Amino acid sequence: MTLEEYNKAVDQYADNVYRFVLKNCKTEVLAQDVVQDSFEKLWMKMDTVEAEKVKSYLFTTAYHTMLDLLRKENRMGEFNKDEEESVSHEDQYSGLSEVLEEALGRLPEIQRSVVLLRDYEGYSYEEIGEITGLNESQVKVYIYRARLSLKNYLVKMENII
Amino acid sequence: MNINRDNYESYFIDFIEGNLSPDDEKVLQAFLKFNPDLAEELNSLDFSGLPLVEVEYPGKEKLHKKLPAPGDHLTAESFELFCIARMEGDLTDSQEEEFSDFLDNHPELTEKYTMLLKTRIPATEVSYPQKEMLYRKAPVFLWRRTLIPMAAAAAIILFFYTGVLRQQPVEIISQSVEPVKSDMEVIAEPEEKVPPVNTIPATVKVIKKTQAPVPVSNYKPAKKTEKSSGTEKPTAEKVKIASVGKLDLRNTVKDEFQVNYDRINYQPVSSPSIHLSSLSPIDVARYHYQKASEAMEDEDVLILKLASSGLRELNRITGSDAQLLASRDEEGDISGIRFKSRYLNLTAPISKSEE
Repeated sequence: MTLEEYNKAVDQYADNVYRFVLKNCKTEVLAQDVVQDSFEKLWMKMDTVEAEKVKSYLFTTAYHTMLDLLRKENRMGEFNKDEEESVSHEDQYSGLSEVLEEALGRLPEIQRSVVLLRDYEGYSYEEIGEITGLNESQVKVYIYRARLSLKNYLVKMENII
Repeated sequence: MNINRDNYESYFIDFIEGNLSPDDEKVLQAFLKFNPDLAEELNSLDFSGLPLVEVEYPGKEKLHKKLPAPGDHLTAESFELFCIARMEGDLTDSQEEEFSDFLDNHPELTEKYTMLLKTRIPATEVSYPQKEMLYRKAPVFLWRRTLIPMAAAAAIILFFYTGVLRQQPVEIISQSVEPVKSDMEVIAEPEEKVPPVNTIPATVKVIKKTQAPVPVSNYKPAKKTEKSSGTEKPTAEKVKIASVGKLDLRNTVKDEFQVNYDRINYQPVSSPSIHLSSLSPIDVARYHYQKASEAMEDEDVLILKLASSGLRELNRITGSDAQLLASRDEEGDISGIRFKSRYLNLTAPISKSEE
């Protein structure tokens, strides 16, 4: 990977990686740290990372870095809220995207990650598996579970509103 | 460890589980002969463990989940999973047809499917705020070891390029210059060699450190000195530079100086009395450039001194010890120059052109 390809990767993927991490952890500072750390690692591994694998490398690094940071900050419990938790902020939502955002935040971290990778980046089950360290079947199961949970939350909110 | 009435239980458990070695088993049997009550206790232990109880969860079938696979058929129970499979593009062509037919026959399920479609996370534009910090530039390797010879070579090139040999008279610094010694004799050109100065009379006064700086309000331009014999050199205390072109740049670095702002249009800093060493390298360079530019107008600049002064500033910035030396022949003309530094020692003869 050349210097030019590295800088091109910054142009192409910095926003995407940032969005992925930000939607996962909801903390701008942490998300920025993760992005910076991921590109720092890419820079250090420039000689070994192939240009066509850059995006996958960045997302993989960002995902695991994010998990490490979240665990270090002992915030996993805060983000892995029980999806069955009672809804108490219904009057604050004005649109589907906000409700969906809230529902997304209630998903277990792994389900949230695979759905984001699927919907935002259009990754295949196999690619998501490479990033998250899961096999293809597990990814598929998590995505199905996530969809059902999101749907249940939307239905619940619709009924309340 | 020998078996006794305090630790026999662990032997019993190991015996029951078959973990006793043959030797330990012999020890245990010998122990039981002398302790028949414990032998009876061992025989009474139940070797079979807890009996297995068959219990069946009644709603097991409902817990089974099976993601739609190629060849599976759509049912009311698997409808939701088929909806998701359709969203994810996992259905085969035949399953797609089956799904459409199923929805047509069960319009009440359309809303369910629509709700599932809403779970697709819409793409939102998010920009990473510190992207500029992520860009990298090609590393520039510039070591001091290479910088110094390069700078020295540049100084020499500049020295020749500016046409030192066309300058008359040629000023010689010294046979062995020690550029920055403060007690060095101040070099002044004999007055008869000085071309007429019409535009810029004495404007800069060099003052020894021991002397108090003269306030601008009290400052009077130095009068032009009488012509000297041309052979005697003025002392450091007496010297007054008659023009900017006569300014010995070597010593201005360590000497305080005062500028008559009315005479030259130069205002380096707001203070009327400053010390060059307190200025940044850029300001010092700017000062020298200003002086040199003014002096050029009088055709009276001493290029060798200028180059030496520049080199000295380079030494100050880089911490090097490069020197530019000149030697002259019997007639007093420059016959060669020598550049000397830690890494480069260069001597070059000089011959003047006839022009």
